[in-house]
Amino acid sequence: MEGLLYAFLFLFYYVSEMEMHETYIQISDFARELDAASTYELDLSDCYGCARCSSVCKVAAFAALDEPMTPRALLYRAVIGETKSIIESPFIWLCSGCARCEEACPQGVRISEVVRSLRRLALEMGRKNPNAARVNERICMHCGACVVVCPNKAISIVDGGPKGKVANVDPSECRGCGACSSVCPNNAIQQASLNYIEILNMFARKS
Amino acid sequence: MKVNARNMEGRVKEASDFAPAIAVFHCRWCLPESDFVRMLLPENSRDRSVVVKLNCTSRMEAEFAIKAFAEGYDGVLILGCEMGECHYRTGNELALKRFTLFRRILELSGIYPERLSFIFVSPYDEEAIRDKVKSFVDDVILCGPFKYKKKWIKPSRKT
Repeated sequence: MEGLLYAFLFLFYYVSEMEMHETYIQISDFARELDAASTYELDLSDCYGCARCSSVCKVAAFAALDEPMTPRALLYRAVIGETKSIIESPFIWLCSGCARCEEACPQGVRISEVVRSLRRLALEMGRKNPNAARVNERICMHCGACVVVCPNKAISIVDGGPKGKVANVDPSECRGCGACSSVCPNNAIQQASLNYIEILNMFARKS
Repeated sequence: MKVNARNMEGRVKEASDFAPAIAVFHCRWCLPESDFVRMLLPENSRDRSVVVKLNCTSRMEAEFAIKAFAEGYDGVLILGCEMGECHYRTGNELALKRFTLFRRILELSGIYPERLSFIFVSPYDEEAIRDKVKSFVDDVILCGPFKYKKKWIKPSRKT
């Protein structure tokens, strides 16, 4: 009899533990939206917050933001459903998708894909990418030098503009490194934040 | 023999008092503070030189270097991340390709190639950064003040 009792107790304990685990993380609607926006399955609930990703991240270490942000905090807030603080922070626009965080992650959470779908959602909600390159359609000669150089394959040549074809920048993919504007022969592609003329004026001597 | 600042005889004695004006272009992701970069330079030349912060060294054009020489700076220094450490994956490789070619062009046009250098830096090793920048500044001091001659660009015709 005693053995049976113990067995029941154990079963009860085990089942309650299972329920605990199931109810421990309540995934918000926002996280499900993120899942729908990306091409991969994002297992956001797999993250247990070891913070290896934020120890490796370059943006967390070197970008001096007003409100400090790390990939772990980003994941946690996405799971809870704190949308505002994620989408308003410049972290998602500074992340280059280098995937060092994914290499470090023991659970295999695709953090760079999370950031990518966050960018898409932010663009849908009406925000602008502050670091993205802009194309001057009058000058652009659609030579395609920027297409080859771009590390994220954000630029493509599309029909349109006064000359028939223009380079087009995808703001959800552009990370703002500025390699395209250094290659462009006409300086037709420029970053919004750091212009070609602004850089020249920084070391021009007024005399 | 290659033209080298160190091959020139008698340069060392002249150049003891000379404070070079240097234009420094540095990457945002390995050296985030431009005040720190300014403190790497020797004391005399801090006010004369200029520090420009870029998003990545791949933004650095050859035109900026030419412009800096034309404005009268004695040297151009580019500080970028180590190979494989670039935030944008291949940005520093692109800049390295560009400026190895550009140094060759400088040599052909009669300017010492030591005046421009591309230094790879890891942000956690301050001593190595100091040593590399110091060796660059010593090279520029050996080269002497840069004089911009219009004759190089427009040679006079003989009738």
